[in-house]
Amino acid sequence: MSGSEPRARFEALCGRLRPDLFRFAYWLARDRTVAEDVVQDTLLRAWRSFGSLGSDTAARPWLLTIARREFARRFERKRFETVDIDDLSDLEDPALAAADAQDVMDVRAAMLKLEADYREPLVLQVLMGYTTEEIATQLELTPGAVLTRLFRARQKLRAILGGTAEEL
Amino acid sequence: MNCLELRRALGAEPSRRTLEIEAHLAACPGCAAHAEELASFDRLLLRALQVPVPATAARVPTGVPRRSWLALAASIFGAAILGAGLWTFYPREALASAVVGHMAHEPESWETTKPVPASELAYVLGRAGVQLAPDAPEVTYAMSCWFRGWHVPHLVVHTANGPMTVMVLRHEKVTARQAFDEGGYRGVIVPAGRGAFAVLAKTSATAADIDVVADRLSRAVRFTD
Repeated sequence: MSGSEPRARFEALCGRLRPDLFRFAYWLARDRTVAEDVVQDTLLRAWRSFGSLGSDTAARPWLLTIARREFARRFERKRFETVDIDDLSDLEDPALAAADAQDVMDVRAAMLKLEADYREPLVLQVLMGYTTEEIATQLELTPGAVLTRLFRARQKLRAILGGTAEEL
Repeated sequence: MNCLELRRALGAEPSRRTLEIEAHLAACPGCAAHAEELASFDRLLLRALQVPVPATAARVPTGVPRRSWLALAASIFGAAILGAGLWTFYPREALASAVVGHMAHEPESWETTKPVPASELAYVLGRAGVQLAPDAPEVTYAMSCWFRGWHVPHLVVHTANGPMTVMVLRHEKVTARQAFDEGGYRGVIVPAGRGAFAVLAKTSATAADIDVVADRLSRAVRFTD
């Protein structure tokens, strides 16, 4: 693993997957600084076990799994350390606000208010393109439970945004 | 598939299309409009989820340490002198238990045998403001772990008596050397500077074996700020 070839391959993969990794970490943590730390820890750990990665196509789920574990590891002993949505200042962050339309900002704010149980499967589906079965595997849920969460997540988002959650 | 079933299905998976769904949408303008609305919302949602990625995020962890080294180096002292060979088995200590508990998260750490590259080790140590003297035991595993609110260097060192784990706990206030034996691990927590470090081995190692390594680390670990 100390040769230049694995390192070049790792760097290429990281360069390609960095946006996904950061965004996934951000929507887990709802904090850009924490997300950057999670990403850094993820890459460090990934590099250490890079030999266990098979094909490059498996890299993204592999990294996301590590990131999820890193995030959980970070907070499992500090359960009291929760983010108060009223304290979230990211929406005032120029990096987030720049060039984004108001409707995008509104949905972002609504996502920040969504409970983690609903936020995470939605991020995996919409942002990462995971199938229901892949989400179920990642979150250790049944596919049925994932579908329920995805359905309710959208309902809740619409309710937060002021729309009427559909009565189904 | 009736309208209710279709809307439930698409409410969870807006892009899902089967022959049955396609047939329903073709025959039901209301559901077709609903499906387009769901798809439109998901396009907006995707844009919202694509938050800007900082240019500085996630350097590949093979480069130089993030922190600059500061000159304030305080060598670890006391414990080795005070406690050499004196193993007092304390009642279950919260810190010792936490350290032992952390081992469950890193089972692979014990299996590593190759030396950690210098740049990687420097990154892990530098993140916690720690330096390791060149004569320290060889490090075969180095990870920056989130432990009790801080980034903590979690190392495995190669010794004549097998691998031993070292956690440098600069933010833990420890007033006296604490030996422990629990959860299949034997170890010692040693005061160091304003913090401490822990050395653990699987119980096949003796207390004396661990003492030797702890004393060596007492001379090798330094805090930089």
